[in-house]
Amino acid sequence: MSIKKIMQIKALYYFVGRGLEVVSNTNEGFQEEFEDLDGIFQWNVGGVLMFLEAEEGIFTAHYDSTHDDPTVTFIVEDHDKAIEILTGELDGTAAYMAGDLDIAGDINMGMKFTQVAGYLLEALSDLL
Amino acid sequence: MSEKKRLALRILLGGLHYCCSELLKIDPAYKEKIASVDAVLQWKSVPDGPNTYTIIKDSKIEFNDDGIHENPDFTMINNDIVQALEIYKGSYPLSEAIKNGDVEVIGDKDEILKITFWVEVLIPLIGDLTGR
Repeated sequence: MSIKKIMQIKALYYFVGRGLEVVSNTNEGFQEEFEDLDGIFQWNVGGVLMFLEAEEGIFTAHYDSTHDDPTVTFIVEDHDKAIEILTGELDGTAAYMAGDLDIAGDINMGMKFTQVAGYLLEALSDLL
Repeated sequence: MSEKKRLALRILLGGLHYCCSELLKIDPAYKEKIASVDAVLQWKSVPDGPNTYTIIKDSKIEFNDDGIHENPDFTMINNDIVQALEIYKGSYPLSEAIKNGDVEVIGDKDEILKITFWVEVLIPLIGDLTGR
């Protein structure tokens, strides 16, 4: 993967990770909806890694890291598809059905993350 | 509405700085260029923030995405958050915005123009991701 592509994926990881840290700590609607959410959501885009740790709905991002026992791992090989998924341009469920997104682990938690992402995309609609 | 814009700017500036730190790990030419920079930069958006700051020292970039530094070498002030988003998304070059006074600088303007390369190199790259 080129430096440009790596940097773009890392930037999107930051937008998602830091965005969720801020939103989960400040948005009352988010906190109410996800107060029972615990899990490890891992991402692997062409070997560029990140995982998000949710504890009672509060998210912490770990960049450039892998978790030993993730609840669910999202795997995308194609950089452009990954950008579309992470920016919300391509719906995660549609990407999974089309084979652009592979999900390892608890698929229900994978689907749960699409709800989490909905909040994030709304909060970051002036960015993405 | 403006709360969303403040969050967008805070996360965008953080993403730019995070990528600068990551680029230092994989691009020796970038690391060599940044070795000459030793500065604390405060980024302010008035009236309501976000306020963030950057410490560049010993080829390392440290970023605080919500805070005021006690003794910055330079303070960059954005008076219009919509324009600030345009600048850091890359549709209005940062150097030009400084020269035109759209980003106010407290400190030596010529000196800041010499060192903004460190973030300007990443703005268009990251900007490609925004507003797709």
